[in-house]
Amino acid sequence: MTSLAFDYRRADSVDQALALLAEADPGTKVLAGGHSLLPIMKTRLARPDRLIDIGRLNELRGVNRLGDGGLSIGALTTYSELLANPAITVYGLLADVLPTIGDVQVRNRGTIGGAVAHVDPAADLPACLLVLDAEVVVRSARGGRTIALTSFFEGAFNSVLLPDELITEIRLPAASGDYRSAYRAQEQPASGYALAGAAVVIGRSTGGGGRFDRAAIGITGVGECPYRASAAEQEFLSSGDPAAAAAHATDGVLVASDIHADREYRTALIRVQVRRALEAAIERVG
Amino acid sequence: MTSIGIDAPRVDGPAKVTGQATYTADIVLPGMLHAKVLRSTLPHARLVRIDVSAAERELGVITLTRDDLAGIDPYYGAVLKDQPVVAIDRVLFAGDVVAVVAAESRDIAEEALDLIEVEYEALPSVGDPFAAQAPGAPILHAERNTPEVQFLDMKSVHFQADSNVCSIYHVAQGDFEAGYAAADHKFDDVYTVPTIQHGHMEPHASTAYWEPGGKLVVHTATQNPSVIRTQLAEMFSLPESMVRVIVPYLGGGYGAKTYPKLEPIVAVLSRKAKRPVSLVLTREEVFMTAVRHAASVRIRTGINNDGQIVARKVEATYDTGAYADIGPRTCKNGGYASGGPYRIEHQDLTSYCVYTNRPPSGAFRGFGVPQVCWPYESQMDDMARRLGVDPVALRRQNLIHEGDTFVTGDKLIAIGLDKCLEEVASAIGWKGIESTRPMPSDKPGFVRGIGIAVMIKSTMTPSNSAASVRLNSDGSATLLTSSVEMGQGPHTALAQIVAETIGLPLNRVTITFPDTDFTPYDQSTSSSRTIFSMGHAAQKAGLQIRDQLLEIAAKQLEASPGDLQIEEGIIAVKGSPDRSLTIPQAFRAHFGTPVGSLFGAFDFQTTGGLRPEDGKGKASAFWFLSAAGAEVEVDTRTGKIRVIKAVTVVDTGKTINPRQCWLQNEGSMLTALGSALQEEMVFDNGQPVNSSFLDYLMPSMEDYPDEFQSMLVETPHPEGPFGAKGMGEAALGPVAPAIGNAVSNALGGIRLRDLPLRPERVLDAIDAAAASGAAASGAAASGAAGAGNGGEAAR
Ligand SMILES: Cc1cc2nc3c(=O)[nH]c(=O)nc-3n(C[C@H](O)[C@H](O)[C@H](O)COP(=O)(O)OP(=O)(O)OC[C@H]3O[C@@H](n4cnc5c(N)ncnc54)[C@H](O)[C@@H]3O)c2cc1C
Repeated sequence: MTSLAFDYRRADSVDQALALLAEADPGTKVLAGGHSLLPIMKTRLARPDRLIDIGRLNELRGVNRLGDGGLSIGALTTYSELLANPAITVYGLLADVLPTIGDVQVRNRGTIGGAVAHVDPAADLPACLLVLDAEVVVRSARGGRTIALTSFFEGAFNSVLLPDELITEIRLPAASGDYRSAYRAQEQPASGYALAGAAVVIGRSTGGGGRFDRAAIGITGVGECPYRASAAEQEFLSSGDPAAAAAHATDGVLVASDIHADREYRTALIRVQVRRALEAAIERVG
Repeated sequence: MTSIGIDAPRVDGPAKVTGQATYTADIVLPGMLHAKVLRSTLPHARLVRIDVSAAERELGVITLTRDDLAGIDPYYGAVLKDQPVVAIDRVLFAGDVVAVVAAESRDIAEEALDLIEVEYEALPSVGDPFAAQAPGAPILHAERNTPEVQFLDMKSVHFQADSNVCSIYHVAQGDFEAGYAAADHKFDDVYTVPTIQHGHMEPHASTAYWEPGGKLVVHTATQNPSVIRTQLAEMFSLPESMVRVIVPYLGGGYGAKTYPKLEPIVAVLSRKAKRPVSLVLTREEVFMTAVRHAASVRIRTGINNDGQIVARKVEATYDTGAYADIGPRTCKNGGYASGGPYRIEHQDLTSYCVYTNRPPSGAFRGFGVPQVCWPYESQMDDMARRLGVDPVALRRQNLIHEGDTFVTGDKLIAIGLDKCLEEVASAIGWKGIESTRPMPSDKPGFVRGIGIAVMIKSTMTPSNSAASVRLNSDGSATLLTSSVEMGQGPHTALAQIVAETIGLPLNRVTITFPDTDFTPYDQSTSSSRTIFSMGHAAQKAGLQIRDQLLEIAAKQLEASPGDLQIEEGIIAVKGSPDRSLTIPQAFRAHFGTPVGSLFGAFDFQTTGGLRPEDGKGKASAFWFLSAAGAEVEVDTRTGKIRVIKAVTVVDTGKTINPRQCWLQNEGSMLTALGSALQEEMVFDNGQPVNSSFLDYLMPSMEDYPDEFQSMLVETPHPEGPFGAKGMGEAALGPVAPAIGNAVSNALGGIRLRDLPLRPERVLDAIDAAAASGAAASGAAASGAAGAGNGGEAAR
């Protein structure tokens, strides 16, 4: 199949993009790297009648350190650009996840903003951003707002983003204190998307030995959209046992079932990934 | 020898890596229209009404439906003419061709499809061969329209009318029942493989037009131009000389481009349109056009305490889909190979080719054999485990040898399988029975194992290949051949054969593309037969030229032809290099001036065929023999298998081009690895659900083993050029069972019998074994851990 015909506009500035979005109807879509949008247009699952190409808005590209030690990542930054940026080395799980996303072409085109906006139930990065306490900065012709990622996703391919809003940056707080993280996933072999993926950040405010008093576990490929496994987080905080925590990875979640992994297998698989991610995080600093 | 056995660089390499090579879809003709196919949405239905008037009226397109078939024979098919150009009264699978539209652009054609109204009356459908044979199942084809048998080997196939069993092949020797009853140990298992897709890069593509004089010209991505010519000539009642089939480079075939695919559609549509019509499929459509047979194989084997296999019965049921295509032959060839490359006194082998409401299954690299090699080589390791013996030794004890008589009655010659076995065992690091035990991994929860397997396969027999060689006065030569260059390298290897035979520098030999108006007959570029058959014909044609040159030079140099040699284009008296002639000088001597050409031509027919009464005779002009080894790592917590190392060994007879043989083995290995671990076409109510490369799990470089070794042994065949046999698909068959055996060894004897070995299945098997007390992680590696549904313990 090939996509249906559509109207194409290229934005030359963020303001112009916002102006185009302000007058847009529901058939209008923003085009960033196109690696999620174009495949579904080809299969006609998406049938936009107008694309606003933001691909040349260099003001949305790049990584900057914030005053508090956190990071601001421009929405149009590609996976490859992020991976090459030394600022991310403190976030061990980003170093785990980025090289495993798709292949070289996908990493050279796919953007961070696109990954967040698309809300693919099996995308790798959103689960990581969830446990990093990321915030989404959005703008529209009406103004701007900042949304915690934990309240951004609404369901599969669905978020609180309004039709006239553009994601301009993703913010990450500093990786401070005793900070340990890891990402583990089993891939769908054709695309590289996660059949089941677990991102974890754990830490101790006291430093040194003792119990972990901070645990964030983000899961992708399993539910309707990436989510925080709070029951598993609680279990880990109280027992410190990766396997025990992993047993709660899907509490309250209707586990997805498809030709690549049925519900039972996917449930087993995410438990293994959560356990392995926790075990790996315990072992390393960063 | 200067041109044989060398890594001659591919002659098609530069054009391909620079994007200059021309494929069928690149051909643009003046006035050409673009076609799109309207496909059935139901797996089985009566076509009640089809209305194209809106599409024609609103978009001015030209359409092809069942109403446009007057005056032609609308049915085609390699073996049975059971497939109509477009659906006539029923559609037989989701994706069947209902109507075709030709328009000025593909977009318009696609738009027009939406304007065609179709009314179906849904009929009950059958999704697998067992459902198709159940009482009351809808019959897909009541008759077997067997045309004048073009393929002599099909005489041994028994066609069944009024049944969904399209055809049966049977061959036997000894008395299976008695042999099995008397055997010390009995094994009775069922193995399955699913439907898979070839995944050739270039989709199917064909373009046709009619010349004013009434000649039909077709540019097409086919592996067998001669068959296309015959089938189109029959369809339009034309002499074959009025059908011209031209084949440029193919972007991969693997069997999917054998026999008619799109050619009948574009031929009929361009006749109506009176303009050239081009049809290029989308990837989704490729998945509906040709697939590999799913199969379910019951295999019963009796073996004695001393390790002698005494009796084997195989019933292999193949899903041939909605139309026969070449299925009856695929199933026949799989059938007689299903006992494996072993000396077994009592054998009873039957294969069933069964229609279902699924996309048509056809040729696929390996041609029916991977489906049966998976069972017999898996069961072989289970038998060794039960007997407590080394599976390599068990194979060594039972293997066929030079001079043996095969179950088909073939006297086996050029059989180097024993060498393949020894090479593979040493390359994979086989250490006897201890290698059947799990090997530790440095990662917790992971285990490793190694495994091996062997295979025998036939080639299309009898068959014809004709070649003609033309030597030009400047000393360059052209080989006129209908062999198709689809990436497997015949343009390079055939040039090597011609250069060596005449004594020319390799770069002075050029190979043509098939054009049935000019290049001689060749049965097919398939069955890994080109080097053996076309190579033989080319060698004989080249020898005729060499003889003419020697005769001319003998006169000129006043020597006897026997005292002359030709090397690098120089004809010289042996031992006296100063008494020599260049080829232009020889032409001058012969014609007075360097003009004209010398010709050689030869039509090589391999002999053989099987009798209808007992399925015996001579099945194959030569035999493919190969072995594979694998080392795997299994994640026992997720069930995921990773192939760490793969080894393939093939008996080439004589290696013409080692690097290309290596590449063929690599391709076979990777294809087989995909089928072993992840590939499977999935259907939901008859609808294909994973017809795209985002969901269909073709192996990629990420799945490539950390280490791959290709090895070649040489047992020369008397009829092969320089002793060469075919080898292109030889390595494929044993790879999946080698992986399966490695997994079984890694897991202490757990046996999985259904491909692919998806993580889910592996984990289930580990859990089931743990629940039943058998070893999963290597605790009980003693050989006592018979698992799964097999072995006498279960009976
Ligand atoms: C072959 C292949 C393999 C892949 N493998 C993986 C994988 O292994 N793991 C994985 O996680 N992903 C994978 N992907 C998906 C890839 O990561 C996504 O394409 C990418 O993250 C999305 O970014 P994009 O720039 O391509 O978005 P686009 O496709 O351009 O856009 C996606 C959606 O987001 C919207 N959008 C984009 N940017 C903005 C913005 N700034 N503001 C508001 N809305 C916006 C668009 O309107 C659209 O709805 C794969 C894709 C392909 C094609």
